[in-house]
Amino acid sequence: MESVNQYYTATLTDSVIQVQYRQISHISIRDARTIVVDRIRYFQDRQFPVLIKRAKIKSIDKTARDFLFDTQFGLKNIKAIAFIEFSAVDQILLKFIFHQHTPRIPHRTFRNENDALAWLYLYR
Amino acid sequence: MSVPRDQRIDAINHVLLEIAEGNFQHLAPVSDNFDEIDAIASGINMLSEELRDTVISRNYLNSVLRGIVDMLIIFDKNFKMKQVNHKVCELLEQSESYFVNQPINILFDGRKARFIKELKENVRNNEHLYNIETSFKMPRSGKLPVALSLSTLRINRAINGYVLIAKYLKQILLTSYALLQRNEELKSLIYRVSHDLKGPLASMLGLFQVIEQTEIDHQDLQYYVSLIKQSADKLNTTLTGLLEIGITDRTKIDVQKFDIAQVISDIIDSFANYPNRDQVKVTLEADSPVMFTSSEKLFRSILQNLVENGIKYYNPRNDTSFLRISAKNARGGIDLVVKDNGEGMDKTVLDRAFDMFFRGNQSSAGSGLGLFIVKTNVEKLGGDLKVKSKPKEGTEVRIYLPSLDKF
Repeated sequence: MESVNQYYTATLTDSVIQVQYRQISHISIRDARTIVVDRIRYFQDRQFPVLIKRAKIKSIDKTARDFLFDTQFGLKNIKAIAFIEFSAVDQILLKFIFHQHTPRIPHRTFRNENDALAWLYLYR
Repeated sequence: MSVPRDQRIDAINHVLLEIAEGNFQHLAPVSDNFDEIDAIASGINMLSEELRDTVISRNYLNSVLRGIVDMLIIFDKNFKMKQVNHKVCELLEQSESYFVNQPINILFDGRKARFIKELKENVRNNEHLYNIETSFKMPRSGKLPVALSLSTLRINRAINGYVLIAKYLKQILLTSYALLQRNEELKSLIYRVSHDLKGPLASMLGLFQVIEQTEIDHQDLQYYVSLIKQSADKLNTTLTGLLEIGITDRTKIDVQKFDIAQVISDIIDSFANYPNRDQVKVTLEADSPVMFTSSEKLFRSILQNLVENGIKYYNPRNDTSFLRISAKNARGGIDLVVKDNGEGMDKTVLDRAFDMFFRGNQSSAGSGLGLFIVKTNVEKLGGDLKVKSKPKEGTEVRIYLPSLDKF
């Protein structure tokens, strides 16, 4: 099962949604809304853990951050979320987001995909 | 081509300095390298956004706090003050920094430890406490009587802080007293207006009845018409006075620069045909011009009423009756003296002379509004007024009006 749009490719494998972002340098609130609406429309009301793979994102607006990490919106139907840290920028972005917009679901960052998936399987 | 490292660091430094100045519009550039410098730039950009929101919220909160007329204090969950509004600083005569991060106890006398403990317990148990009368400690000496209302602030049901509103009791008492006074004035106004309008009206109606029901010759008719005219004049005087009060009360002060010597001369001239004007020698002592910035309209009204009183209440037993007006620039405004040797007033009359509708005696032809209008206008122009008077010796009115050039 695979969902593709201008921002990402999302595949459902072993009951975990794996998201690979395209090269987007900036995410605005408008982008964030499209990302979330598309995901919910495609996977409907089913709940899954989510893995966000390597993403070359330079910045995310504050309003977009608020939206993406709110359980009513961006985190809706997500049981747990894991991120793969690829660069120093990822590290800063995620540290900041986890501090300021702390997701109210299980959340972690990983250096490699296998460790992330092993952790997410706990929430299937 | 990638940007040299030094230039990227310079750009970040520039953004940091802008943030320090409170300017959150600039963003640090993030390159495609995704290296440590980009990471720092990214972090600074997010921090800048968060700070901007915090500053906007704080500025908004401060503007709201400034608008609150009561004292308002926000505490954290440990009853340490996190924010106080301007009123707290004003009434307790301390700067904001004196209060911030201090415990609630510094607001009270040292002997109130038990009261504070109970206050904390009660608000935790009851969420809200209303109108608890107590007093704050003044920094140097004395107490500030207050009525406290205290409520909890909660986030996700857990107590995160407290908000305290303190009303200054003396201010409440003064406001209530002022309100009572205004009510009394209003009652008096209604009574006097009814009385003053009804008297001449009843008299006119009676005269019309006489004319209707009696066969009268032309000479008598003329006599009755003259009586009706007297009543109509009285009605007119009362209504004109009331209208003037209404206009003074409602209109915005329209400030302009004018020559008061010229205005006073005009007013004196306008009384040329006033009854008994020729019995009173009216003089003006003033440099010409005496330029002054104020409301010419209200100033005219003040002088008009004082000159009218000076002529109307002249003392016919005097060989020479006078009304002397002097005006000079002084103390950033003008000093105005209006002195006559007319009938004067005794202390009982003087005490009430500026009350609305007060007349010195029942036979007085005035509306009882003249001096009330003078007082109201002087107050409206930010001035002050003093009166000395003795029966059969005369009256002296001293008025100071500030210049309103910075109005």
